[in-house]
Amino acid sequence: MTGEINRKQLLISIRLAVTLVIASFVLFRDPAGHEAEIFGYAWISVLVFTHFLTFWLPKRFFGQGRFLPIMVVFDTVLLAAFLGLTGAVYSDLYILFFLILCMAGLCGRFSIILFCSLLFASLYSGLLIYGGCGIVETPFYCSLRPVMVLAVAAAYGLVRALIIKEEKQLRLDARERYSRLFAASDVMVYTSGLFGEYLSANPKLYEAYGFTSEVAMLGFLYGDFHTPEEAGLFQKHVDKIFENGKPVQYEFHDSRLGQWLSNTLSPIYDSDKDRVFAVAVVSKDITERVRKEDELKKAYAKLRETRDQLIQKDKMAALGRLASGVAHEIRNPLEIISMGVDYLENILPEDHPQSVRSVKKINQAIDRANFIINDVLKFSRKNHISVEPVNICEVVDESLVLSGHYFKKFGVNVLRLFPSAAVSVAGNRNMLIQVVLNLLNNAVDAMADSAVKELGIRIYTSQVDDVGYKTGYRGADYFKMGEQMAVVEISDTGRGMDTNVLSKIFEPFFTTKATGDGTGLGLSLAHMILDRMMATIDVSSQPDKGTTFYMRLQPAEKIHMIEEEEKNGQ
Amino acid sequence: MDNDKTKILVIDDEEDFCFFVRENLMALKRFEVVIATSGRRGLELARTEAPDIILLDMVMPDMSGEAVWERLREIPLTAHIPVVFLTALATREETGNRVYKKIGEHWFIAKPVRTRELANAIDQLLAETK
Repeated sequence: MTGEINRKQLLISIRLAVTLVIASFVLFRDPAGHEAEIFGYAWISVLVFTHFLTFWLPKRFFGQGRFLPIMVVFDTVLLAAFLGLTGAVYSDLYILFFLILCMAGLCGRFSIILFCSLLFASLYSGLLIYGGCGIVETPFYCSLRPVMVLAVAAAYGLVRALIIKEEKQLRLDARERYSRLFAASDVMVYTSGLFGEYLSANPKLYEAYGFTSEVAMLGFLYGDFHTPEEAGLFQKHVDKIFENGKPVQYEFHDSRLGQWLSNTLSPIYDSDKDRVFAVAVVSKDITERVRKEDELKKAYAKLRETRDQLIQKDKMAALGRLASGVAHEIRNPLEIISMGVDYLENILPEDHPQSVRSVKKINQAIDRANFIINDVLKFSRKNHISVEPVNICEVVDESLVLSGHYFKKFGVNVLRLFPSAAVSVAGNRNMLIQVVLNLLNNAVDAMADSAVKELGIRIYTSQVDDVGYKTGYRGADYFKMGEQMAVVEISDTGRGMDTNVLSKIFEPFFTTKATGDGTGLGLSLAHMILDRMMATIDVSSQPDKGTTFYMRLQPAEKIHMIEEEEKNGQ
Repeated sequence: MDNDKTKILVIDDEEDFCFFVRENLMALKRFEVVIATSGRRGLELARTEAPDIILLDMVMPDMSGEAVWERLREIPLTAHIPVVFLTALATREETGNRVYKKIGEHWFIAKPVRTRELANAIDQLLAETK
């Protein structure tokens, strides 16, 4: 963890050691003269001053910059000068140079170590020669000193160089591995500076933007490849990271690449870990996931729709069970009322207009009540409905004929958009006519206030390719994926329905018509009838945009299957 | 049988219905109506009154309409009198929008029915069975 050791602290510690040794030398040894003494104290002052200087300098000065080498060279010269000026040339203080050599080693560069060693060796040799080697007892050893200095420096330098080389190699290997990872990555990886400028880009990224090399892309800004909104969002997150260094992840739609992306931004600190100088971005394509999420949402909505329809079906089944009892209990009193009114009619004077009117109204009300019971009873029918091959086109044509007067009366333009060729479905002819008539009448009523009154009818065969009510992959579905079905579409240009109304449309007694107009059971019955034939009915509508009903019917080949279902249901 | 009026026997547990139907049909002058509010009483009257046609309610507490009909068939005197069931459970679709219908070997009239309709139905039925 040599990287973790603070260079600044090391430097200060070493220099402090040097200072202490020199200080003790100056203070506790007899000076070689008055001048020497002054120099000695000046020395300590300089050293202490430089201590203060280095202490207060911010850490980044102690990185790979020029400051450290300059400091080391300065100290080398200082030591040499000190030795010379204080007359300590012959002392063993020259050994302090080895401490300075350590400082030089901190720079991490062999050239500095070499330069300082050579510098000190030459200065020291110069001083020795100038002072004359003859003064000391062992001139030979004295003259050996510079050589020793150089030898030790060389040895130290070599070892240091080897260590540095090894570290460099490790770094290169790591970098090599990282580069390969970076290049091979299936996600886009890049770094951005404070202003969104690309500081690095992996092949996945620069190729996506049509560049053939990383270099070509550097210098561009994020905003050059994104809309202002996308760039703004990115910049906001980058700013945040520069501010508080917390990684962030967000998703957005990249309009240029046409993908949904998940961006993970992390801070990159400089080597001393005290500030962020770049942001690393990993950008992953999540389009598929988003698409699946959307599909899931749609499927869920459909599921709820289906569930609502099933609830309706349950309600209708419950209604069916009530029906017989209700029919009986209400029709008997109705009969008495009807007969009673006839009786009163006989008693009351014939020319009394109010009596005549009243009788008429009562009879009408009895009829209305009777119609409702009539429709309600249909739910309780347990008898077998016969299913046979029916030409649905012919059924629709017959219904159109039956409603002919209705269309004419209200000025409805009928667009018969289906072929004359027969489309054979499995069903009960009379019941199908009943259902179609109901739908046609509803359509005409819906267009009562419309300027354009167009009733379009389409009949076609199709393959099941969508999931819906009783449609899909399950065993209980009427229409399985990929199977054939016949579709009858009846659309009008009427007032349409909002989602609120749409959700209740198959509910018994739910009606948008005025009171007394219709029983509100038509569509519920249609739904039930079609269900017995293993067919489905669906509707789409928008307020003021018209309505379309879709009936899906089984092809005639499915008759035996429907009869099986009927038998099972009995 | 004693004049050209048609004699109708109405067997129905609803007393009020019996009262009104009798009054209304009699007011038409061409019918004579006897009423019974139980199946048992109805069988008695069928034997003693010799009606031309019997209107029989399907659902009654003591005997069902079906059971009365079977008994009527057993008694030689009443075996050939045309019987029409009054039912509250028919749908207009089943009766084909007519007031009365023959289903299998039985005739049915759907309740509620108006006096006029009932009278016409009786006339037509008798014409058909003769």
